Amino acid sequence: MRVFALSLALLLAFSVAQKVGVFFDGEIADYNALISHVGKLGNEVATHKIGELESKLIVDGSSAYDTICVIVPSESLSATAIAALEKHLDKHAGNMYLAFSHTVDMTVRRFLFSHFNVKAGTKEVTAFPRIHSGSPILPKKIDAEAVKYSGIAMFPQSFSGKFPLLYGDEVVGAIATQGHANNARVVLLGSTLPITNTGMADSPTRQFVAATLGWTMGYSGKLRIAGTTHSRVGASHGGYDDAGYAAGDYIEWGTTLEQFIDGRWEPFTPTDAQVELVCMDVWARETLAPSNTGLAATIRAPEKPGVYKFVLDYERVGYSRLHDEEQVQVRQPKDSFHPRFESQAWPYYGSVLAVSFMFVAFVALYLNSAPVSKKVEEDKKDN
Amino acid sequence: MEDVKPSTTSMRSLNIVILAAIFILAFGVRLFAVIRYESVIHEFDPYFNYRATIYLIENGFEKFQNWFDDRTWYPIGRIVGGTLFPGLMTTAAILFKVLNYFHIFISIRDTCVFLAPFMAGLTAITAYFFGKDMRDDRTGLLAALLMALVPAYISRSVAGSYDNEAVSIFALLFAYLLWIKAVRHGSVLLAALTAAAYFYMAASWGAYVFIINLVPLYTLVSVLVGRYSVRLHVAYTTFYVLGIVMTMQIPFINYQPVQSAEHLAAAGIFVFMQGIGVLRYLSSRLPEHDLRRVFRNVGLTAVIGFFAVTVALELSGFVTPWSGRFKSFLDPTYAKAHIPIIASVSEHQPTTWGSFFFDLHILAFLVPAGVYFALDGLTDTNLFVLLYGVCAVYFSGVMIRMMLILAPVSCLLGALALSRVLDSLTTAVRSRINAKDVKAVVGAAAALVFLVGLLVSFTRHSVWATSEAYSSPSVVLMANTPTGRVVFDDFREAYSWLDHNTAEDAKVMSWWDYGYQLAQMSNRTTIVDNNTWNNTHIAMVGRAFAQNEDDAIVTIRLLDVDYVLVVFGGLVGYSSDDINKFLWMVRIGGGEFGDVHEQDYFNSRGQYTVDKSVSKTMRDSLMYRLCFHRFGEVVTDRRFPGGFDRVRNVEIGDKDIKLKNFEEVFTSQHWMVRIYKVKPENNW
Repeated sequence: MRVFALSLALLLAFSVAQKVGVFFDGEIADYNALISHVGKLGNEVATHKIGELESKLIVDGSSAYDTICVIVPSESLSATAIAALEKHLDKHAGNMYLAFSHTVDMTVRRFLFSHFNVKAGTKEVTAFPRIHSGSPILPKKIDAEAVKYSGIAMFPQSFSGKFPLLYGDEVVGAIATQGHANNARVVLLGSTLPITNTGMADSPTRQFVAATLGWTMGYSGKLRIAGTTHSRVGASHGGYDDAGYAAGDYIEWGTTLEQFIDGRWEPFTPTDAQVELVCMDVWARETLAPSNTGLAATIRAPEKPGVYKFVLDYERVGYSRLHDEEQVQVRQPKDSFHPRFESQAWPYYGSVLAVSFMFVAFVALYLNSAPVSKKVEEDKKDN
Repeated sequence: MEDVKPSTTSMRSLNIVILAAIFILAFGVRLFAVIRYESVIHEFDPYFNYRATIYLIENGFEKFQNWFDDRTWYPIGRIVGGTLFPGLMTTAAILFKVLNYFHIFISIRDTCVFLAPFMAGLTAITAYFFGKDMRDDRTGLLAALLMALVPAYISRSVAGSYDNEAVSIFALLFAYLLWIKAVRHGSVLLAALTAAAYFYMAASWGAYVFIINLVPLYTLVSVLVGRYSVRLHVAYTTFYVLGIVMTMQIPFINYQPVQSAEHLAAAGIFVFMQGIGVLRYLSSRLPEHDLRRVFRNVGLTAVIGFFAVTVALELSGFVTPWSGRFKSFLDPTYAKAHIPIIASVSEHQPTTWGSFFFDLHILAFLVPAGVYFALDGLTDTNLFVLLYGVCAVYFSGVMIRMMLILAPVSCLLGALALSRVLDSLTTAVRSRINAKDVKAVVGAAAALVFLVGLLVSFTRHSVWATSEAYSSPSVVLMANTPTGRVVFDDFREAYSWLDHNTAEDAKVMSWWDYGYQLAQMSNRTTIVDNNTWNNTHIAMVGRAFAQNEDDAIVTIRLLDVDYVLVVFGGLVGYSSDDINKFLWMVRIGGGEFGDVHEQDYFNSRGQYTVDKSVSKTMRDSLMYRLCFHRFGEVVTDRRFPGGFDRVRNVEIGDKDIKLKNFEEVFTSQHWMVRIYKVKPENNW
């Protein structure tokens, strides 16, 4: 409990206040504990009826909130409201914490099942049999059986490592998705029970909601690229200029990754990050190793000139997606690349000079010899 | 004799004055475009040349040689220094530097715009010396005049036409002139200068192979008709050795002079000439029966050996086979069957008879007369001109672009014919006046008037053709309407929009025709351009335009494209738009990738159409959707509902096009250029 309070205090101290919109169905009083929890984190909370989703979410073409919490225990959503949700995520990188119940109609089901990599279960479930923990979303193990849950059973259609975040051996309890190009985060709960006052009153459930909601709002699993560098190995100036790299050059590529922990950006040095050199296809791929400045790898520039990109694409469940591209050119060697005179080729130079000299000498001798006509006459006499 | 001297001097002065006037005429007649529009670079290729010239002037020759352009052919780029003929840019850069050194401040653009008319003046002067060599001063002046005005040459040398041909026709004629002089004098110096002129030509235009094949052909024919001389031997040997070594210094040409089949004839003639030389030497030293034996044994062995070596080199791949363009000269149907990208270019089409008359006018009839007169008094020069004429007539028949090669020789042969006829007529008039033969005088005078009338007609036609047909910059268009002239400046409007409203590193995809203009005027990265060096890359773009949106977007994202540009003429009736070029995209795309088939783009009746009967594949194609997006809302003709295409003269088949992955960001005033932004991938 003390750790939880300390974390909360740190979050309050260092995190930037967000605008959070809660769109609910039913009575707002049922969710007071949730609203109070979000407010205590230092955020500005506004509440709206679910019917106002369309008008209050997108105002003057932009999203009114950084994160929204949508609670739909029983009703359906209109197509325009769903479109507003999609726009919120796509255009404005807005985070979403969605809680639906098993009573939602086919429109909502289609929305959920087409956007989340799951298929519907046939029965209502009441608890997580087991929750995978250890990811940035659930750093600590929670007693799954103790989390209050009653809602849709969802099964992952395919486990790509990208979509299902929290799931049980048999029954999917909650799905989160992240890793979009704009790093927006979405958590889908198949039950509204955990976020009601009843749910929040229960300690494991409150921990579960605090962890997943905190993750949605970007309090954990947040990564950034502090900087990247690349230079020719052994180059004194170490820089890269307009002339680009020459085919066959060895290039040292480095990056500094950071993770937001307890209100501070700390170095992050995963062992599974790779950098690629891409020109339509991947021409080189190297695993990054820890270095003085963070992570680094040495890549050999391909023999084929072209416009290449260094691509770092680090996408792991629970973490912000890190994506960085930098365009470089690999050009042909300059015409002065090879030495103009090779001392080892002295036989060649010698023969060229000798032939030239002999040619001049021959012409001089020939021109100074007797006229052809006389010679011919002499030859004829000899014959 | 005392009477003749001042007369010769005054004639020389008169010649100089006339030549100067011809130079001014050649320069002035090419300025229609500048006067009517502004000092603007024309067409497509000249924009690359202009951009390259700016790079050369700003960065110097060494960087120019090593220039890797990462803003074209994204992402494969282009090694520019090694894939262009630098002669044009170097000429303009030198001219620019020299003028500025003498404080004649002229911008790079103006230097480029006025280079072609300036070189045309020099070509006319070269034609004068050529004509003088063929017969006399008067023939030279006539040749210069015809050269200054012949429409076939004007078409490629108007102000703003900053292309390789602008300097290379001068280089071609100058090289031939020096060659003829070298042969006449047997001078090593003149032969070396011929090689230098050949080097300049090779540095300027790919048609330099015409020289390296015509000169050996002339040498061979000279030997065969018994005109072998030591002068010819000296001239050819010097020219060949120096020419080959010099042209190999041009990175784009590289080892071609010793490896490609196009240069093999010259090498063969070189060996042949040495053989002849050796035989002649031996003939002065050996008795006749020994000579015959030597000739039989050594000569036969040499010939068989040469062919064996040639075949071995060809088979081993050391000698590269004939290029596609060269093969299409020998077999005019080759390109269409095997290289659609060459066949798709309008200037590579065979020439029609109408074009011959339009581009040569009276020369089309004077050339045969010139051939007759050249044969009448066969000299080294005339033999050369005859061979040049025969070859040029053939090549110009195969490819309309080669009219340019034909133009100088037409002027020379035409001038010869005119000068001979004029001489005969004036002599007839003079002699008959003395004889008081009125009928003959009137007859000759009438013929003279007719000839002068022909020349006046030629001049009028040339000026008219220059004004109406050859002075349109293509990038700015003009149309005559009942209310006056309307200027369509859509291209520059669109390029300027891109320049001012998109990120500096934005990648723009369009059909290759617009690549050079985009790179220069928008200063944005292009995917393909008019260089057409990589067929696969062009095919990728063609295929993307031919595919439906969902399939096309895969290629478009692979190429990191930010904007797609299409040219559409349906609103104003501009027929050179992308829909009319679309089948070439399909063919080129289908040639490389098996999933695009031309027949799918025809309707059920086998027609290429955009109306209601349009095939599903055509209607779904990216090109169709981008061109006709929102076009259904526009009424172009009051007699028809919205969406009436004024180029195809049909009402389009799909008036409700919704784009998924593209967002219209710009459409020019007359809808000729439409630009779409590629939407980022959806999050869901």
